Order: sequence, then C-alpha cells, then structure tokens
Amino acid sequence: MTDRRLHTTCAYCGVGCGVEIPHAGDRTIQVRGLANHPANQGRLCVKGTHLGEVLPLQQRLLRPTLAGETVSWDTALDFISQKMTNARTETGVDSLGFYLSGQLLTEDYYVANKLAKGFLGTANLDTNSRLCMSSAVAAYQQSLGEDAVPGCYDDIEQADLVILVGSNLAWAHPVLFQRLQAARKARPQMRLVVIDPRATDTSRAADLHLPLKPGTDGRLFNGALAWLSEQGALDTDFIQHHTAQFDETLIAARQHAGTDWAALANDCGLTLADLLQFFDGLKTTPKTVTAWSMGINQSRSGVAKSQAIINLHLATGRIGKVGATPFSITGQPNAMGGREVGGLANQLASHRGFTETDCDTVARFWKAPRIARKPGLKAVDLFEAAARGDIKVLWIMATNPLASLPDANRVREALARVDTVIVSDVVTDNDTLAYADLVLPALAWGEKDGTVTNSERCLSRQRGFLLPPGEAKPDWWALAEVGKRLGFENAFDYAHPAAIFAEHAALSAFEPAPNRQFNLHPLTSLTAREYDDLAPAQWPFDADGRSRARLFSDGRFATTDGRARFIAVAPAEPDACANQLRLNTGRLRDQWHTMTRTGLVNRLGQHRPDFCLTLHPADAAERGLIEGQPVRVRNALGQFIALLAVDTAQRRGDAFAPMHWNATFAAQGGVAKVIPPIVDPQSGQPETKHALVDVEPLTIACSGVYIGDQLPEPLSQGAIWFKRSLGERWLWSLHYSQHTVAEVSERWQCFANDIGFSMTDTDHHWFHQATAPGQSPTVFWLALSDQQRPDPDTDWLLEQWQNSQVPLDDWLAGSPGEADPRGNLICTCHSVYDRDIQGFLAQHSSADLKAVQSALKCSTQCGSCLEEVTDLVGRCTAASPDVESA
Amino acid sequence: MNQERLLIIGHGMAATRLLQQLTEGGYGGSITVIGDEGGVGYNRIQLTPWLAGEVSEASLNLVDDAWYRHHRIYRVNGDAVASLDPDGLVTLSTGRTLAFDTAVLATGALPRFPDLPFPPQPAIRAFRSKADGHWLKALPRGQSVVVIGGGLLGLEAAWGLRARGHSVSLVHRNGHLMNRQLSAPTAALLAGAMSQAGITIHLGCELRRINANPVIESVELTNGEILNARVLIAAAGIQPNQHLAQQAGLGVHRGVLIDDQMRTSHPRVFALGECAEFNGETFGLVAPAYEQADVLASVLCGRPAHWSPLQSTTRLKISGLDVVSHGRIDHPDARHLTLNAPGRNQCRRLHFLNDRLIGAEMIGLRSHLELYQRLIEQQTPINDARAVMLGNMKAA
Repeated sequence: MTDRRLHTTCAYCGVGCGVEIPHAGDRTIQVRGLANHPANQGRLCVKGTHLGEVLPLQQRLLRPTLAGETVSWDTALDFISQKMTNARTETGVDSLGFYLSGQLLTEDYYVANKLAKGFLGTANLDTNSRLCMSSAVAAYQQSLGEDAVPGCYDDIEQADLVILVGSNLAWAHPVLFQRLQAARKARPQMRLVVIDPRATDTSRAADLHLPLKPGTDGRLFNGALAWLSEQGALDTDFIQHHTAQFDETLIAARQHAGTDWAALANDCGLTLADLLQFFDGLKTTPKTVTAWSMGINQSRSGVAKSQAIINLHLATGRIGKVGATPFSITGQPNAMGGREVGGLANQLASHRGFTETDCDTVARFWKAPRIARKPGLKAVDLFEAAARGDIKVLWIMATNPLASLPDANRVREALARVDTVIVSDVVTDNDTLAYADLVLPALAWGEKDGTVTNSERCLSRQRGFLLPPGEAKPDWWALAEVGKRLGFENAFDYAHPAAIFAEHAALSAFEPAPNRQFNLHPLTSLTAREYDDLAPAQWPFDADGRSRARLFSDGRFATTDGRARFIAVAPAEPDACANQLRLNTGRLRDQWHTMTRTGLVNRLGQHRPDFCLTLHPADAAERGLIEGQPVRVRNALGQFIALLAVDTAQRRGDAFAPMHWNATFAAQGGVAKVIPPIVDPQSGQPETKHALVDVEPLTIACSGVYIGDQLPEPLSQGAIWFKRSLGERWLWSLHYSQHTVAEVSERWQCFANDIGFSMTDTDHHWFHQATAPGQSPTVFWLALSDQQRPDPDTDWLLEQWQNSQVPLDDWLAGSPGEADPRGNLICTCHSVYDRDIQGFLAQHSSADLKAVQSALKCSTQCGSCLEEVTDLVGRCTAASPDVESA
Repeated sequence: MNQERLLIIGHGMAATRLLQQLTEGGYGGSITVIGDEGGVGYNRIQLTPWLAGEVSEASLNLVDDAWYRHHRIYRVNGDAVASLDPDGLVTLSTGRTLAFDTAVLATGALPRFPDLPFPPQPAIRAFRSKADGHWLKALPRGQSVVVIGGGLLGLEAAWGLRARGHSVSLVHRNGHLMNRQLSAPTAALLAGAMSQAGITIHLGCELRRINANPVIESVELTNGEILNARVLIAAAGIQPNQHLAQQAGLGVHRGVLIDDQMRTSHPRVFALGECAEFNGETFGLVAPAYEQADVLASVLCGRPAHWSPLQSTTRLKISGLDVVSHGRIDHPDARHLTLNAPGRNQCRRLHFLNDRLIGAEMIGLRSHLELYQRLIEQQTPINDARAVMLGNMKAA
C-alpha cells in the first residue's frame, strides 16, 4: 500500500482531485494524479500537473511585517489583540471584520469562525466564496432546506442528458469535463447541451449549444418548466408527495417566460428549433443532470436562477436519483468546507443559522460567552461598511479582494479607510498587500495540513509534505494565538489540526436537528494518527458510518416537513445595453484566480500569454479596434487596459475578459474596477458578468518586450505593461502611448549604456539591447518597436540563456534565424504547438486525431487541450484537399 | 600568319589577372609584359601577412615562371618604358624599342608622400611592394615607426609593423579611420581595437615637419605633438600613374581616361587598374581591377563585353579583426541600423535610403555579407530593415 502521507488534494478548483507526491521535503517535484481518489481517479488537469512548479520559494512571504518592518510573531499577535481589544471597546465588536477565502483549509476556517462569531461576538466574517457559490447556497437552503448538493460526480457520468449552464467546464473544471467526455465516449447516446452566450471549448464539444442572450437563462428554465407542464411531462406524483408550493411556482414561470415559444426563443436570442430541441431532450430524458457554475451564480438574480433550475428538477422528480440531479459546481478547493464550518456571514456553524436555538446550541458547545446572534455583513457590504469608516480592524486571509471584489476603486477606498488591515498571505506581492498594516506569512499548499471538501461533499486531506519556510505559520495557529491573547486560552488551545477537525466534526454531530444532512459523526473521535491517515470521505454518513453518494434519494428533504419547496421566481435580467458592450468575465484554462501561483509557472503562461479583451470582429471593426492593440475598457466606476482579441465565439455586443490579471501582472489590469457592486439581494453575490463598458483604442507610440528580474524604472515610466513568468525570469510586454522608441531607448541607454549588445535605428523604429548570454547573473533582453510588438521565441531564449556561443543576430532577434516560429502552445504538458500539429498533418494527410496523439503526445496527459487539438485536426483535415489540389 | 602583338605595360595584380584571363580565353596573339619589379606577378594584398610573418614570400606569387613559359608570355623585366607612341611603338629606358598592335597600360599608382621638405632616404618610404617588405623585414625590432594614413593601406602597414614588434604611431588627417569606407562610430570601434593592439593613433592631424639631419629622427604634427620616427611610411593615398599616357598624348584627367571596354582615347591602347579613370572615378581596390581585366580579356579575344563598376567591397583583414565595407556609407539622408557589441569588438551598420539598402559596414562580424551585397546590387525594396539587419533572408 502506498504511503498516504504522500497523498494530498489539489490546490485549485472545486473538483478536489487527489494528488500524489513522489517524496516529502522536496520543492522540485513532479506530481501525479492520485489513482484511487474518487474525484479524479488518477487524472490531473494542466494546472494540477504543474503544481510541483509552484513550490519554489519565489516571491514568498517569510516573515511578519508591521508597517513594512520585520517584526516577531509575538509582536504581530500582540498588535492584533491590542487593536481588536481597542476596537471592541471604542467602536463595538461589529467594527471588527474578517474576510476569508475558499483557499483556506476547513481547520483554518473553523478557528476563524469560532473566534469571530463565538468569542468576539461578531458575524462580520465573510469569505470570497461569497463571490463564487453563495447564490447556489441560498437556493439550496430555500428549496431543499439545507445547503446540501444533492448529487455526485458519478451522476454526471450516469446521466443520459447533461446540461451545462453558465459553465465552461472544459477550462474551469477540466477533470470533471474529462470524466464527462469519457462517459460520452463509452455511451454515445449520452447528450450534452451547453447553455452559454459564448462559444467555448465546452460548447464546441456539445451536441447542442444554446448561445443565449446574456442573463436570460432564468427565463429559459422557467420556460422549460412551463413547456414540460404543457406537454404533460412533469412527475405529478413526486410533486404531490415530496414538494410544496408547486402551483404558484408554475404560474409564476408561465407568466415570466410566456407560452409563446417562438417569442421565448426570441427573448433568449435563440432559434425556435434549438429551443424546442432542448425542451424535447428534457422531456424525453429522465436521467438529466443540470450542472451550473458562475454563469448562473454571479448574477443579481443568481438565487432565483438556481431555483429555476432546481424547480425543473423537482417538477420532473429528477433529484436524489442516479444520473439525475441539479448540481452546482463550486469554484474553489474548499468553498464547500468553508460553508460547512460557517464561513459565510449569514451562517453560524455546521450548517446552522442564527435562530435562537442554533445560537444557543453552538454557544453551549463552544462554551462561548457572547456568541453573535445576528448575521454579519456579506462581502460587498463588509467592504462598503469599511469604506464608510465603520470597520476598524479587518483581517484578510488567503485572498486578494482588491482584485476580486466588484468596484475595486471603492474597495481601495475601503482598505485605505480601515485603521488596521491585517493580511495573511504567502506571496510578497499582490494588490491587497499594498494596503496591509500588518502582513503575516501563512503556509502555502504543500506546507499546510488539514481538510478540504469538494463539490460532491467529499472531504479530503491536504497534507503538508514540506517544511514551513522562514517563519511562516498555519492560519489556524495565528488565529488561535490571538484568541488566547484575548483571554480565551481554553477555547483555542489546539496543538494540531486534528484536534480542530475533531471539534468541528463533534459540533456537526452535537444536538442534531432532525432533517439536517450535514453531520460528520463517524469522524468525531479521530485520533491524530487516524486523521493523518484519513481517506477521502463523502458526507452524509449513515448511522453505521457509511458514506452516501446522493442526498434525498428517499424523497425526504432537509426542511422541517421533509418536503422540498418550489420557489416562484422571475429572475431579474441585467440592465439593457444600448451603445455599450456587455463585459463577461471568467477563467482561462491555465490560470487560477489572481495568478499568485499559476502566474509563476512559465508553461502555464503560454496557452494564453496575454491579458486580452475579446470582442466579436464586427464590434471591433465598428470601433476601429485592431487585434493586438491595447484598449481601454471603461465605465463610470473605473477602467482597465487589455490587449484586443477578436473571436466569433463572442456574441455581437458582448465582450469577455479573464479575471486573472491584476495589479501584479498588469500595469492597469483588474477587471474588477469596472464591475458594479450589484449583488443578488438574497445571497449578496456580486454580478460580475454583466458590466456595461465602453472600449476605446489606445494609440501606441512604442511597444516592447523586456525579459529580466525586475522592470527598471526607465522602462516602467509611462508604460502599460503586462508581466508573465518565464520560470526563473519575467517577461514584460510593454506599451507606451506617450513615449516614442526614441524617448524610451534614450532613457534606457542612460541607464544601461554599453552593456552587452544593442541594435539602434536612426529612424527609431526599433531598439534592441541585451546582455551577452552566459555572462553575468543579471541578464536582460529588451526589444522596442514602433511597429509591432516584438515576438521573441521565449522557449528558445531560455534555452540559450547560458549559451555564450549563440549567434549575436539570433540572440537579439530572439529566435533561431532560419527556424519557423513555433506558433501557439496548445498542449502544455508535452509542449506541442499548433505549428507542430499542422506540420504533422501536412506530412500525413490521412492522419486522424489518434495518429496525431500517438505521434506528438498532445492531449494525452491531462487532456485539457483535447478540445483544441480535436478542433485543429478537424480544421486541418477539412482544409487539406484544397491544399493538395492547389 | 599575321599574329597580333599585344604589349602590356606594367606587371601588377591587374596585369597578372589580364594575363590569366587571356590565356584561359584562348587569346591568339603574342603577349609581352613589361614590369619594373622583375619576377612573377604577386599578390600585393598579402604583403601585410607576409611582413607580420603569417605567410611565406613564395605564397605571395600568383603564378610561377613555368606558367609564363607554358603560355609563351614574354617578360621584359626591370625596364621602365621611356616613351609610348600609341601608333605602335614603345621605347624602353635602355633605348630598346618594341612594336605592338595593341597596348595595355597597367601602370598602377604611386604612393603619395607628404608635401614637406625631407632628404630622400630608404627610411621614408611606402609599403606597396616586395622590395618595401624586404627592407622593413630587415629592420631591427623595436623601432619607432610613424605611418601616415588611416585608410586600408596605412592600417595594414601599421598592423604588420606592430606585429614585428615596432612601436607604431598612425597619423590620419580625417577625424576617424577608414573614413571613405566606415562611418565614425564603426571606425571608433576599429580605433579601439588598434589601440588595444598597441598602436598609437593620432586622428585629425597631419605632418607639419619632418625632422631629418639627414637621417629622419622625428616628425612634428599639426597639433604640435612630436613623435619619434626612425621610419616613416607613406600610406596616405595613391595617385594614378598616368605619366606615360600623358606623354603619349592620350586623354588623361586624374587617371588615364577609359571607356567601358577599357579603351583609351587611342583605339590601339587600353588601360586598366589603378592608373585608369572611368566616369570620373579611379579605383584603388583589387576587385574592380580584376573585373576590368576580365572584360578587357574578352574584348581582346574578340568577344565584345562591357564593364560597369559595381559597388565594391572593401575588406581589411588584420589578424583576427575583420573589417568589411560595402556600398555607400556616407549618404547624409540615410537611415542607419547599428548593431553594436563593444565588449566583443563587433559591430555592424547598415545604411538604408528610400527603403533600399545602400551600404553595409561591419567589424568582427561577417555574417550575412552576401545577403547585403545582393540587396545593394539589386536595389531590392525592403519592408523590414530590422529583419535584414538580423540576417533574416525572408524579410528581403
């Protein structure tokens, strides 16, 4: 049997894949997918595959600092307790705030929650999970009685119809997508419908793509309910015995969507044929899974839309059954674990709310003197209160709210306004750290030790296999130390995360409410050793301790009467847009959130190296925008600058920008600056997918590329820059609207006169300067142009970095003279570029996908690029007869 | 049989090339060549490596005695031609006369000496011949030598003498070395390399006085500086040797005027090489002389051909330092792209005008020369000057 201490869980999305570490104590390892983990069964996506590359201590926070000066942990912790005590006395306990993260482990979350809600007495503790799945949580609570995801990953494989709505599963949850694709391959009768305004790798794999008008998904699902009812295709028996409030819900759905199906199709921006094909599939396929993500949740009506989906499943009895469930797919590795301990401001702990009974129960369990008895401020409100001056001490852990919360400029005001901002993090540089008074070095993935819960309620251990660097400490330890300093020695006397977990499990099993599903009773008495050895475990547990994969299979729900609730909804739609563009935001395949980890990995930066705003070509042409050009995206709230990409995958009038590029990676990055703080009134989840923006071109006098360790001041001055990792070095893409090549190169030459090699141009169209390869530790490479951005072959440059024999011309040109450019990276695992695939197909005209895979190995490891490779092979082979006849 | 009598006056590199081309082209007449040095035609360009001891004297020879015998070429050695009657007769300084049907003037050029009074002596001389080389090779090491002229010849002489262990100063009138072939920044790199080799360089000045009593001791520069000088080498340019043509009443200007078949103003007399002038230009390099020889050989063999001067490539090769210049490098409106690697003594500068490459100069970097020559000759329109600079053939 393998050593379970080398089994851990991926740091990224909510799929929660098991990861196997080759050996402990090494920061230069290659990880593998864990073969016997239920989530991934050995698979890993491209981000997970490169987890070993985020371990080196590059840009790592190692010591506590107070006002920029290194201090001891004692000083730091005394400072926190002093500031908290002062704030409680002077402005009341609700002037304290905690802002946590779905990246925290359950144990960290638990201690933070216990400290704030139980012992300080404030529920002003929220988490970035608010931005991710709080709408689904509220919907589950109202519809099913508890925040409990009814289905499991197996259902996606067992279904005959999978509907993905508001989810680019292929990029955001690649392993789950691969499981789906493998199941479809095994059972070709399985159907996949993707509902997304944008064409994505996910939609390209679908049998039916519904590119609906943004924000009309609630209307579409209400329409589906009305249509199925008209067709007599509802499960009246299930409705009658297991639900309530059906009639008013159906009436509301019919009113909202109408019963003129052509009109509905038109309202949703779809063809009637597509609409009816979708409806008909719903009618004829009992085993249906509807999975959704941020496209539904991140909306002013995310709760109502989630409920519209759940309504449909209740009305057809498709819940709690094999291959039939509504299924929200969470974004973060421990969004679910955070929900379980009560990490949201409107939850207390262990799926308990703020009823008097719940508060009393938890207070009794914790022996808490002054438990919070009302919900606290949700994320957006918490920062709004801070901006008003109502928050005096704010402790932010493992998240970068300045990059992720809407209306970033307001968040900036908030951070500036708070007296004491404490930030626990692992990196030395992110947007939020700039506003921290006290910075605490936390443990990173691979160092910290605890549990996470994935999207299918499966608890897995994230194990520490590396020694903590510097003075980095677990978050739970820092929180507990503050708790002790505030006088709660007994409540926070934890020696090991196992003790915290056991307490959390015990709380879940303490005085259980009859219908509550969340109960970790078999795990309440784990010894530290058993905890260390814990295998993945899915709740709920039967009385005998066995896991159950599905909830509500007996038709009894978590409500007091055991009946699920239909909720009458008419989900509000986003503001209409006249001349502006509608900005959708989302994830890229190879990046994660604000790039603090994936941004350090060269390979992960190559799939989509640039921060791009993507428009439909016609929208770009209308505005006189040219591909590759920097554009300013603005509205009344703020602005950011990205490079323009055009793609017919966008609908007319819609724009897309990835969420990832923030102040660390782009001089004027940060999509959050233009996102209005519109939230769902019930869940408080911000609407991050419908900002209305103007896009205008920037005239660029000079573009450039700089490779080095830091961007020197003569280059950063006046530059719109984008930064990306090349592993040991960084690459800055430079764009100047006010400075010409002549001006920038003159500034530069004053700074770096006569170092290495240069190429100057009296017309100032170009300027190059680079140190000689293989010479000194401070190596740089610079190219400036007034024509196009220089495009060096960075892989080649990195290979030549130590080669003092490299031809001077090639070195300055940034590519091997005669070789063709490599094109775009498609397969990150095996470094296969589109040119490689095209070249192979040109030589092997009869080759198919399989032949390409076996020759080039692309898309055979993590599979994240399978859709792209398939698409490319399809396009090349379709085009080849013309090539031959030409 | 009425065989044409061809008389070639001068036996330098141009004449030797002409002889080779005539024999290869199957010239049917009889050939006589008159030289003042004696021996076989040799490669003047290799004098510096020979002086520096890098090559042997024998390897300078372009042909050997057997070759002349084999091709029945008559050599008249050591005699200067006293007068020329273009209608078919030359008189040698010995009084001997030679009749000809066709004559070719290949009298070359004479070194230019400073226009200053000095008693003639062996230590004030040029460096253009084997005789010069022998004299300099016989000089004991460690002498103070002043070389006048920072062009190709002067630099080569200075380098060769430095390699022999002399203390060499180079005096150049212009503000930068090789000013006809290099622009100032490129030349600065060359000057740096020369200085590193131990040659003292004096730019922007000339000789004001030669102190000789009667043997030369020092020279005084226009900037007042006084340089010790046991030897003075005149390498500041040449003047076409057109004395004979002038005396014969042929058309001359700076050189002997020729047309595009190397014909002088007299139909029986041709001229080529350093002594000739075409369209107001004289030519000091070997490449145009060779091209002229090739065309003239065709003409004499009865295959009409015409010569037009190409942009020629100047090349200075002094142990390890390769200096190349091609085309125009002095156009005031040209755009320059300059690649500079001062730490490596390398640079390359391209001159563009109206999206055409017009000139290229390089030090220490010979890559892409053929590309640049082709682009300059063919006047190829260039979209991407930077790609051309970095050697991307496809960009042109």
